[in-house]
Amino acid sequence: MHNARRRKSSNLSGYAVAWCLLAALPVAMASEVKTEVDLPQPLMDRYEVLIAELRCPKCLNINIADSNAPIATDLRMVVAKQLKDGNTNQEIKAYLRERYGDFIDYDPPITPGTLALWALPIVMLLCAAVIFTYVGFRRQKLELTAEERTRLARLKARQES
Amino acid sequence: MKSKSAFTPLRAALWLPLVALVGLCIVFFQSLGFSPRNVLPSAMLDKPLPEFSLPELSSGIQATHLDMPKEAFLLNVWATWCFPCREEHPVLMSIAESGINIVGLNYKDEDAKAVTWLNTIGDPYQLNLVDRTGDYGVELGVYGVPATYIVDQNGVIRYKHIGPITDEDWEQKLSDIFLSLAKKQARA
Repeated sequence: MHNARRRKSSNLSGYAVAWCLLAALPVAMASEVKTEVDLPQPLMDRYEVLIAELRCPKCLNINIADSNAPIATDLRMVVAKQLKDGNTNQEIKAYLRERYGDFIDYDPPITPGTLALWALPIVMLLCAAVIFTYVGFRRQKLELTAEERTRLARLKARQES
Repeated sequence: MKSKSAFTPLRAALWLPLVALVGLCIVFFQSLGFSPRNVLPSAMLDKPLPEFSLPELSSGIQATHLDMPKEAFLLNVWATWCFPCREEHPVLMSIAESGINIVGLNYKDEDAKAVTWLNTIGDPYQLNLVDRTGDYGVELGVYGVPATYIVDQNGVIRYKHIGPITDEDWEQKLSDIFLSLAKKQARA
């Protein structure tokens, strides 16, 4: 009985260790990604901002900072090189957008497509407002005028008699 | 006096949300089996092939965009480490046999391995550019291998195919695009 319980608890601690190692894995991977470039300080900060804002074209919905795909590594190198060359953040993003499309930028520019996306909820709210006021207006109109009311009373009286 | 069932614009408008909902359901249902992996739009379409100066695989001589074929051609990005490229290879061989120019871009590969590959399973390429670092790949907007660009006689990119070309891809889509370019050239 005692032995069995002890075995169980050692199993549990084994699991705990395994989970801790698993949890540490992304941290280890992330630090590996970060140490691959060496830039002087103001550039390094901009580098980290940029690679967090650029989307990996291969892996869909992960930025190039967190991706281990070879293309993400290449693009990080491109960003680092262009920073060293003195390009602005806008220039670097424009360069990559030209080649990989707006897809690559997690902060995409306003285009007719994105504008429609942003405007759609507002347009729908306006439509709803128009419909509601129209319904309210009609309901008000349904109230009988004084003339109609006397006519109704007359009709009722005639029916009852 | 209007009866309750009379048709009014308002009554018709009340059906709109239901119609919209059904429409959305159809769109979403159709999207279920649809993987966006291969439909990333290429930003490079209708732009000239980026300038380059890269060594040619067999000769080692530097080639530039000026050395490209003067008629429409395929630019195929490949590597020996790329598994789907092996699957694509026989398709490229048959395309080349039909007289279409294919330029290879050997991407992040080793020259010796690439030469061995071509010597053993066949060489569909008119010439092969070597992009050891992948820098030219970035210029082209390559993010996965294989990828194939259709370039017209003026050196302008007209189409980008991502992933291996299958026989169906070629017969049903790419050959039409390619032939329409060739026709345009004949007319010009």
